[in-house]
Amino acid sequence: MKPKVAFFDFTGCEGCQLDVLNLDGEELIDLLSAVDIVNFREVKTEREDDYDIAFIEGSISRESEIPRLQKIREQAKVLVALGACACIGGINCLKNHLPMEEALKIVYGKDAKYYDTIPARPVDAVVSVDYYVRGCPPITAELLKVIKALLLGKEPDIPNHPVCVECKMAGNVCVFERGMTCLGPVTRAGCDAICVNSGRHCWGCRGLVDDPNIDSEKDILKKYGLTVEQAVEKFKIYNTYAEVTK
Amino acid sequence: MEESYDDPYWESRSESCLSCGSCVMVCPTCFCFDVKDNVSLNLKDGQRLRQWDGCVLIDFAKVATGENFRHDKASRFRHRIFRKGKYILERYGRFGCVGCGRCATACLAEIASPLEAFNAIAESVQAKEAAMRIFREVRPEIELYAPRLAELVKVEELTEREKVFEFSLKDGKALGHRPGQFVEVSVMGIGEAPVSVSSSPTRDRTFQLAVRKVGDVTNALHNLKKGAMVGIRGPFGNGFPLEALEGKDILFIAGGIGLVPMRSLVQYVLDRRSSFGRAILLFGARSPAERLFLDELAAWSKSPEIEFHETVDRGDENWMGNVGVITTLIPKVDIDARKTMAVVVGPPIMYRFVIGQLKKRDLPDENIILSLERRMKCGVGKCGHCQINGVYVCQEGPVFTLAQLRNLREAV
Repeated sequence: MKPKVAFFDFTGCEGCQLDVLNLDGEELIDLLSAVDIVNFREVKTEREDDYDIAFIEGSISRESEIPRLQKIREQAKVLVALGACACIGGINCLKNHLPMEEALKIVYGKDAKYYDTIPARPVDAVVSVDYYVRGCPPITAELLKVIKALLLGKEPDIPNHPVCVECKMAGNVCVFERGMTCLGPVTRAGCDAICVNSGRHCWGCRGLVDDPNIDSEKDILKKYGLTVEQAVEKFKIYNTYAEVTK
Repeated sequence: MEESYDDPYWESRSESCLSCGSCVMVCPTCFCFDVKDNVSLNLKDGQRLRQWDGCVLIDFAKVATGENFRHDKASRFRHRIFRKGKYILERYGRFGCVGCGRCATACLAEIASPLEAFNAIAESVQAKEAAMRIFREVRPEIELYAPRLAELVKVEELTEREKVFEFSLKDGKALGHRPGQFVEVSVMGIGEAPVSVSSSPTRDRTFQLAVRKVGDVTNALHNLKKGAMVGIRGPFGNGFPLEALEGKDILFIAGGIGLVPMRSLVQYVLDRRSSFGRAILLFGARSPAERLFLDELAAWSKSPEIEFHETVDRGDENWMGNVGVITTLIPKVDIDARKTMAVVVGPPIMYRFVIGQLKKRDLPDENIILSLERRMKCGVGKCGHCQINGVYVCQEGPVFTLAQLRNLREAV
């Protein structure tokens, strides 16, 4: 029996699900021979409520999302957080710096009274999460790695060291040397430094390593010309939910 | 450098270390690596890959039980500098630093340059000569990383968490191990893990591994059925010093799953009984439910060949024996310090306390033998994970005398 897989979206851009479809043809066929996808609204209209593995995309930002998520947790044997919003709260948490009424007004204007909102939070702030597929969006290789690990019943090997390791292996010139600043030294690796490889810097979308040296990173950002406020802003983009910005 | 080991310099200098690995990734002489199984989506085939790793990364020395032998950045920072300026020099007679400055350039915290630390090792010429004397050829002749196939011929449950597995090498040969050595066990697609051999070479051509379910590989082993194939590399390590034990009284001290490697030696001594003096076994388990090898424990407790004492940390309603940690057994046995060798195997936390008790009984450091746990990923002195200072535990260890460990900080 192939395990049944379902995808669910909460607050997010649904880009992570789209990214699943970016698997190359052969990988997608291999994936479909390993699992049955029973619920995936970007792909198919039929839906089944009987599933083993649930992928949750998006953060939790409305009261009504909490019972919906809890119900999925009850049904799923394995629950996977997919993408930055689900894993670490992500960009949605930027609104947590505002009073909720103000956030509603900015987004919905005069229609604000028809909507509710709560401070955004990652999936594991509401229910327990078995596996994390990090990134904004996740890289497909890591998605496959996590799927294979859960099929084999082993821990997926997700690095607990900073992006610098993979960035150096990729042979990049350090972002700081190129006159920009970067969150790579405190951000969890696993992306093969994809943004730096493309000439950009690390935004921290995969979340922080378990024991990040935030003080040192802030000192470095300052040394390379940022004010304290600018340094904190840099962390906020993806990592508002983590304690670093508080 | 040796004198600088406890210097506050390491702590203060490493405060801004990001453990980001930039220094080791750009270093032309760093060679430490990890080994990963990468399976295809069909879950049938795949590759075993070596992958760069580095001693400044946080999980480098972490084992499956969660113990991290260099958990703070100061000790990782010091280890890297000592490797460049001392450990590699002592082992191979050459500096581990070529002076290229790549690490110093790459380090955002500007702390990676080994130069300052090297100024302390002015007597390097003498160190180099000493190094040439202790240098040992560590390369086995056969292909280093190719496992031999072995068939699982018997499985037996020991406790809720431990099973004992009996394997037979497919080429029909005996494993050829000494008590106290270990093998690298592969469950294909999952990975490879170091496991001590728990049977004596004096017994069958097969060999036994007793394994606690604690990580990916051990979980997968526990799911295997009779007839399954695994990969075996080894035996590796030095094993217990059988020659030094001969003719002596032997005090075996085993805590918890320390009984697993110890059993190999106990069986060996019992099978060659006339070569040894008294045999005294002290065994401590956390609770009655966690006692291993119940049949053998019962047989030993009745045997005139061996004096057996055991205790549990916490008893239960059926437990009639001693209650208390293993150190409480040591004052109760009558030993002659001049001709007793103590062999100690247990969880890392146990050693300091047991050593304290043995020293109270006046045992010299040379007579206290310990088997150490570390992350022995490759088993052949290459990957760097098991290093304590400059010593590879998988090669020079895992068995050491306390006299050897006195000069090896970080060990116990």
